Amino acid sequence: MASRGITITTKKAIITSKSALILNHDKFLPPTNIINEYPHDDVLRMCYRRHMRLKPFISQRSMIQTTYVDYVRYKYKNEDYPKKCRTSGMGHDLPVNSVLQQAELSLRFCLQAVMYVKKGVPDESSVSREIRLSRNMLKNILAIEHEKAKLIAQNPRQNYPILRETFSYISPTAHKSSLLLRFNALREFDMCLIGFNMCMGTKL
Amino acid sequence: MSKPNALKGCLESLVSLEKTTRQPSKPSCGTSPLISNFEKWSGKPRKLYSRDAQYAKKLCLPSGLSSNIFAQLLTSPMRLDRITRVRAPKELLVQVKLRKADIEASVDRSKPFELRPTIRMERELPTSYVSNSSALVHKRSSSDMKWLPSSANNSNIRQINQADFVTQPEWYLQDYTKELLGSLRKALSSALIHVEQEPRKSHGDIVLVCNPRLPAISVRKSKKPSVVLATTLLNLDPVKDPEVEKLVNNREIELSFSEHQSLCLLIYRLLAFQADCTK
Repeated sequence: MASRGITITTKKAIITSKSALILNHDKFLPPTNIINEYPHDDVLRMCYRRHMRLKPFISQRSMIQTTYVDYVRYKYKNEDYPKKCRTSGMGHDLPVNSVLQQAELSLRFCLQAVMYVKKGVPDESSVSREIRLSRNMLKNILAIEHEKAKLIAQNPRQNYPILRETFSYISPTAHKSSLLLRFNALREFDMCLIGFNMCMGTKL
Repeated sequence: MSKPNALKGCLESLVSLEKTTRQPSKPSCGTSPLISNFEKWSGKPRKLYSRDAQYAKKLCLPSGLSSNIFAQLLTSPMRLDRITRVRAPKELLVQVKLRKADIEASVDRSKPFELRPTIRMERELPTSYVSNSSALVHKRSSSDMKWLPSSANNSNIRQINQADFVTQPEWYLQDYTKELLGSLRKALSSALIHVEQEPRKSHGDIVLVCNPRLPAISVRKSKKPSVVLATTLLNLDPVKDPEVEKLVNNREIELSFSEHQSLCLLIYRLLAFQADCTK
């Protein structure tokens, strides 16, 4: 560790002046070859549970933790992701990953966002850059989720169907209605996110 | 009871109290859990620690985020969009700068400042952000007073009020697009020369096309699925610029995002800005 200050080492973690670095990862990682070895529902449940275990890693603040939990729950239980993709009109002939693959890769994305690589080991800078990028992205996704939740709380009857059910805010004709034009920032963000998911095979 | 007697009784009770004091039992564990499980109480942000970069790489996503255009757009820091009052990554917004007006060129000489958009992200001058959408800007141009950077309002040195600066929403639709187009032409032609001269080293994850039937930004299946899962199609047709169309010349131009980062972001910016007015 290059950082100054006291370092306390316990059996499970190294605590520096900046962060608590957890050494044992087994609880958080998906088992190898998870998709082929477990039944469909169990894989989803395992990924969901591991997502939830990452909650204290995402942020120290309870508000952001709640946003994260709500986001993951919505993603697993309510969202009609294929419909969202269809409404956006982004992909044509894309081979869609299976739901399980998407779930596993999304979990890997979240894991990547909470990693820390020891300073000075070979390849450290490139891996750290990837980690930093994914961390920033996860933070931005949560911020946008918070904005959506705020908009829904303001006017649930109008905004909930737009943002969560019909996804009309994301459609290519959204700019024609002045109501949907208000969601322009959310629309662009989600279009980029869908593009990202298509490139990476995740489902964020 | 007399006074000495009361004192004596008091002393006796104190002494006897001392005799009956409970002895604390010795804790069964060697060190306190406060110390042995210190990570629970440290209050520091938690992270998964790995001593090996290869191990971390294996856990991460298979393809890199730094070479993906969407990741680049989504990771930029969040800023408040002054028009819709929603926060968004700043790469998806337009920077508006408060700057000194060009006195000779300006229409109204009594106004020493002007608000202008910039196409590159710069650090100097007071800045605010607005949506990168021509329809929104056009619609809300009457309330452009709200786009004034807040640092200008809080300044002690000079009070800037409504009468002091010029805004012309027309610049937004014309000058801004013109400026974007100008730099797009320049960047595109230099990139084309570069692509033609240099032999292909890395795979192209971005394809520029000019096809009226495709949407402006879309994703399609990659020809080399082992390297990247999908390629991003940027359709230059909505730009409606003859010079750009001539440059593309109905070809499919493959670019790699890591090499032509600024060009790809520029095209994205222009397409997103014009997405609404062309149809």
